[in-house]
Amino acid sequence: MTGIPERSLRPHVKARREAELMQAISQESRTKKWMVPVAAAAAVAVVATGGVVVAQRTSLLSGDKQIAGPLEMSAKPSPVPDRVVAPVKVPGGDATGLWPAAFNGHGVAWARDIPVLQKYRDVLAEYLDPAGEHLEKTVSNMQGGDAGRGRTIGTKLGWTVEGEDGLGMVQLAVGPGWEGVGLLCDDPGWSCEDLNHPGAKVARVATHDGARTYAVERSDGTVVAITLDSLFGNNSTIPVSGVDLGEKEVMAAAADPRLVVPELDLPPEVDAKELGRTALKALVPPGIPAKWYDGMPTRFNHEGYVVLTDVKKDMANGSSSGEPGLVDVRLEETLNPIQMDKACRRADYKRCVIRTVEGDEVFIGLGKKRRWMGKPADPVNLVVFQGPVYTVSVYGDGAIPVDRAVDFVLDQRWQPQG
Amino acid sequence: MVTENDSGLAERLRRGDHEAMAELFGRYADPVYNFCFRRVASWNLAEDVMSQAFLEVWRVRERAVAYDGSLMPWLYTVTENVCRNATRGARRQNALAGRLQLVRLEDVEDHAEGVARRLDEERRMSELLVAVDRLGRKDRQILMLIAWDGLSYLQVAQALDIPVGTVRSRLSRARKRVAALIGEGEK
Repeated sequence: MTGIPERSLRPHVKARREAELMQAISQESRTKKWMVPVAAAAAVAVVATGGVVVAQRTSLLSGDKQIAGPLEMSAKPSPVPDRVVAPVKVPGGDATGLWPAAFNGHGVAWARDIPVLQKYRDVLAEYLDPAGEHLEKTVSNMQGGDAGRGRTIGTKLGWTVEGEDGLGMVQLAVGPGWEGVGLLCDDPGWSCEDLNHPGAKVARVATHDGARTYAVERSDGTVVAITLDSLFGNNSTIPVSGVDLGEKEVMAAAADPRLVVPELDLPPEVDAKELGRTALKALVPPGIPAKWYDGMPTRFNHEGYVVLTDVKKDMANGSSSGEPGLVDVRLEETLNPIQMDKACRRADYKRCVIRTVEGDEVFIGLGKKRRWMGKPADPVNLVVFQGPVYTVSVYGDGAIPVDRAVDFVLDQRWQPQG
Repeated sequence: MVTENDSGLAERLRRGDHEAMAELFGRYADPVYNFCFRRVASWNLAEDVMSQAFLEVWRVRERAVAYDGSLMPWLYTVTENVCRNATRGARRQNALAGRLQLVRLEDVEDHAEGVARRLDEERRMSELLVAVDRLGRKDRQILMLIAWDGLSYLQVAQALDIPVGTVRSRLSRARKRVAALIGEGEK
């Protein structure tokens, strides 16, 4: 196949399109438009008997109408009545940053690495800011990735000076080699020089774009790069004075053996195909043409999704141009289980209940009405079990019978042991 | 400074990082724009669809995944759905849209030769699409992703969760079939 035309967007068109996109996603964040589940119809029968309890065996949307057809799984009866949870205003921002992704959409990688990055920050402070006057106290962002030899992780920390309005930056990257830490010594805009530093296999300093990066390769191969910049370009337009710390302190910090990327202690894997097949069979009512989105890795560890889509809506690969899919099934490592009584976001849910099945608690959130791209959209509800290994969630529209969703999230196959 | 590969970018996207979205757009706007053109055979429509595709990418950001170190395969998978929906509506309005495109601001700025070139490209692309439309869906998908969009065998295999051997055999079959179809068309 030759001769297929290629073009680049014109710069002004690209800039305009980017501005439109960023405006759209900013608005979405402010209104939570993309996260707000839709109005669940009256799905829950409330019976007051010495407190508010909820009748079990209900469909998430269709009241107590059960879906016909053979069940692969059936809801386990529980002597414990459902507990109604009042919708609450959940604080945004960092307060929910460590919540499981099932509840707030954040990835678990962040939850896993933030304590590590906080320790890194404290190590840096010992060398660069022993009096605790300048370096940002709490880690609030993470950079990194896998450059082929293993994970590189890092963070950017603000640097302030009393009496000045500006914001400087100390950036840290720790990885198993030079590939991921960001030294671009071949770049014409960079100037690199090798130094001698006691105990370091390689020590290097680079100047670039008004910033200075100190990097050390230790004997175990770990490379640590610390960049000092008088302007934290992402967050300020005003530089500060005093970030130009001495080479000795910065190199000593970079050489500290406590700066090392921890091994990933991943949970046992789950077979994604089995998860998908089971979800399809258990969650999609007979008569609804759905298929399993198969574009995901075969085995899940750490986190993953299976998306079942309604083929009538032609969402064959797990996404449409706006409408929600039929159901998302998410598996994520249980790292920071939360108190589910506090997870019923008023903005998202009309009503929530905690169901107890054989001692295990399952969160059931019944979504509010919403509009999607100017049109009424299907309600989206949430069922979550924070298991000992994985947190399993079903996020889908009202066609999903709640009993099956509860059984599905409680299935022991999603909690593999060693 | 940490130079981030696509795995890191995917991770940040999944966390809902707006800055990551801007970076993604900066990196992939042009490839996605061209990807869309290869599905819709109209530069103007491709531009609109590209915008919709990035919005969709944001909507499904929690599923962002880098295959073989690149977000491109996942990005293309999402974009393909948007293109499909877009072409469905576009087919109904093709004749009108073709005329409207000529009076859009960007085209007015083009000199006549530029406009003619765009239209010629769109005509050629339409002809190619007609040819590949006669392939089976799976073969067509493989052909486009590899021969047109430049993904590697491995990336396509991972993105579609099929063996690399299957990718190769489908591609070979698709190429032969398209060559035959184009040959038929030229007779």
